[in-house]
Amino acid sequence: MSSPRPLAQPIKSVRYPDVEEQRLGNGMEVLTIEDRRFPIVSVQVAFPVGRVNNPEDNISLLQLAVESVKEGTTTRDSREIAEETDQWAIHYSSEIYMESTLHSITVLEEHLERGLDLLSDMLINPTFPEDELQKTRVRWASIIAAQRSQPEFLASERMYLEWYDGHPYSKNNIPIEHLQTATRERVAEAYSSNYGASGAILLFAGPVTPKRSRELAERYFAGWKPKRAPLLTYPEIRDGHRDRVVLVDRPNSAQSRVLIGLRAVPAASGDMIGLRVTNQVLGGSASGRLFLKLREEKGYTYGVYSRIKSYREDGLLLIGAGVRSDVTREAIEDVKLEIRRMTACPPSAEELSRSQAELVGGFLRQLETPGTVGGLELRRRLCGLPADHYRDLPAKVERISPEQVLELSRRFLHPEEAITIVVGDRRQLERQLKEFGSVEVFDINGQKLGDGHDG
Amino acid sequence: MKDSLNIERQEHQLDNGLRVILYRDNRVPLAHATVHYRIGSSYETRGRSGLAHLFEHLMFEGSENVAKNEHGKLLDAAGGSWNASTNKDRTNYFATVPSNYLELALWLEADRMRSLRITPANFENQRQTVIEERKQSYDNRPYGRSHLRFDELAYGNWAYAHSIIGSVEDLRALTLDEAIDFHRRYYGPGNAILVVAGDIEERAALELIKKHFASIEDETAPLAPDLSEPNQESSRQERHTDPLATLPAIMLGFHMPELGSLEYYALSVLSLILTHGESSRLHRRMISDNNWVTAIYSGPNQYKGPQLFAVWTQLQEGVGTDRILQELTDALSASGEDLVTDKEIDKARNNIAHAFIARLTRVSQVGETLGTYATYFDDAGLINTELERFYSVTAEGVREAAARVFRPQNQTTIVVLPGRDTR
Repeated sequence: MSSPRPLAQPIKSVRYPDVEEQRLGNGMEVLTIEDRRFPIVSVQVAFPVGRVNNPEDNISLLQLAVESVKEGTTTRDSREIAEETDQWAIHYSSEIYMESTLHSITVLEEHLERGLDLLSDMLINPTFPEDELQKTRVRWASIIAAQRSQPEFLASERMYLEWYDGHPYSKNNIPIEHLQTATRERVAEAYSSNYGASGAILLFAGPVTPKRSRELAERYFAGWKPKRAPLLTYPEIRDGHRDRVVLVDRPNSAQSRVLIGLRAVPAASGDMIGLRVTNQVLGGSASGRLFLKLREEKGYTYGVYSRIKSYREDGLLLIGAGVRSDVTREAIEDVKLEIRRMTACPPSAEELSRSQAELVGGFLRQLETPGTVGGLELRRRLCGLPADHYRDLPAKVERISPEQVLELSRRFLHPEEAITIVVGDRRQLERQLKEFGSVEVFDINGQKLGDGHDG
Repeated sequence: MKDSLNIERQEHQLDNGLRVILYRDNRVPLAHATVHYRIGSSYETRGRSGLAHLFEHLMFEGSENVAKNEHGKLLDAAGGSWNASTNKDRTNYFATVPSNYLELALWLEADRMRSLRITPANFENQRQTVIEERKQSYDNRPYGRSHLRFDELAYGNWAYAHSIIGSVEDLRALTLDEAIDFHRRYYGPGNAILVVAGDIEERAALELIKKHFASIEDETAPLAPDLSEPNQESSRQERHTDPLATLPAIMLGFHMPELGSLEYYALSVLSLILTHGESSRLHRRMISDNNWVTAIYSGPNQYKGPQLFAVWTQLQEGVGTDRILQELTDALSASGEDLVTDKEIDKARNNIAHAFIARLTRVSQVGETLGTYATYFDDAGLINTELERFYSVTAEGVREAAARVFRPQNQTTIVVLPGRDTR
């Protein structure tokens, strides 16, 4: 015999971990999140330097530079670096984002010093050997070729080019010809003029005391020059767009990739938490309005979600789905209908509390390992979020009212100012999409195509 | 690094046969509940491929006290994350919730174990969803169809040869009655393992489990598949052209013994030596030194029964597939002739230890690991001792296993070229 649905017990208080802050003489900030449960350490080094810091004429330079630090230093060649990394199971990775760069290692506690010796050498003394750089250029040419076969990539690329036309945020993807003009000298110069100790954040998470972090940071990073990247000034971001549809022709596609962009807010905006709750009601999960309408009711798609991408000066709310080609127009109309419905009346109490719980639960799961808490702390600093941002996050999320969601929806969810990108087979789509008005068409290489139905 | 770990757990069995494993970790107020059923696509019968996976979808379509979609909504409203997965040997259903909602997660699992309620409309809806999923995951992806073809070509026994997602023809033929029968046969306490890991107190957790699961009657009558694989006597090869691919790719497979065999541990170590990290043999030769390929992976395919040692690589534009195929088979046969070095073994050990420890930092991963060991080996205690089995691999053991497995007549090859589909 089954029993009735159980009620939740009161939630236990969540204790946000302590973060110890120190600073080296060269300006490098040192953070420690001590957690002795497991003999594994996460070390992350973050810089407030990203793709936007590339010169206008070549947006591959910092990507190549960041990736190439493991290809040679003044005392190690690429083989030796690879050998040491693998020998001591130093899991190293690097990534350059729009406005930041992250190098990280995870390593067993007993090999921590070997990991730091290697990491600091790569960051402080890279030599960018030409033969290795050439291999990286070739590898990137293949990556770019593979990216252009992915509908998600094509949709996102076109969205940023359209939305941020003329702004550094539009330069999200590397044109293949930039690889060829990225000389060794330019890559090395881009690295040394952008990366240094000032502005860098070194974070230890795991069985390491703040005292030990300090000693290790002094030993391995105190000798780095206190250089920091030149301050960037951005051009004004265009305030609004007229509602329009852009088609990227990908012949033989089995379905359409739809991406709808709406204006959101910069990362540190006071509206961000409310807007995240609003987004969650609209389409943040499989219980969101978009999923229930387009998949569960209409059967147009295997999944549809909305998410917020935020940067220092702006943000986008992006709604993405792979939809059946023959109902692409109907799917776009339904998304816009759901957006408009958000501006008509506040969410129900059940929708709101579920959306809040989804965000709080997601946050809780990020507190599980010291490394993921470290990621939050780095993000907070790089985005300029207030000191108590994460400490009080659950309470702030739970304070958002239905009226606030309605007010934010009315302020931000304007389908008449959206850009809609559709990636798919032009022969199946152009006629459908022309019902929205004129449609601009591009091929998968970004070339604008004229009218006609032959693609 | 220590050779063994100490993950303390409790094990119980309810009178109806349900196996229960509890692991306590109170660092963060999260609890992970997972039910592993001994049922995967290898249990299906000919003409009914895809049933196990379609059934996984049906488990979210409602039960006596839970409406369609409500399972996910209730867990979302609790701030949980949830999903399910079907492989060839088992199906698991899991949720990680703030620990004050543990009882909700248990109640939801118990309700659908006891009393699935599938309407004809919901059955049709999920059949269509799975057909769309197949398109999205395979038919519209570079190399997708070749991946599905690989097991068909390599395995002589249909149990592992056919795909988990199933053929569209078979999916269309499945009926609601078959699904209901499937639930009765496989989805009961006697064929399930429940693991609860995280912020719990063991005695209270066991009481909750008894409250919700003890009254479920066991009517299961599982039909375990015959997984025995006929001996392969000559090499098998196909060439495919794929209009969605932009670069050529090669897939290789060699028959090898089951998960947990001596060969499994030896060849897992060898796969690290061959393709893990930039200093590995094949990464160095194929990528770092010559830039012939963009990526390369290798290793046992992790099936519970007869496995394949699989190699996958994507070639750079303009590099000949014959040459790379020769390079790969040369490297594999060499490992059956010459001993790997002590340094290579040592390196592999460090990386295995790292992966083991990293997995233990999340209660969800501890829970899934316990569930997998209990389901496959009837021994959740392997979580503490399996590391020793990897550590006991010697260079001689690697050579012997490689010599037995990497023989030309034991090889299956698919070469994929970009271009118009001619199959």
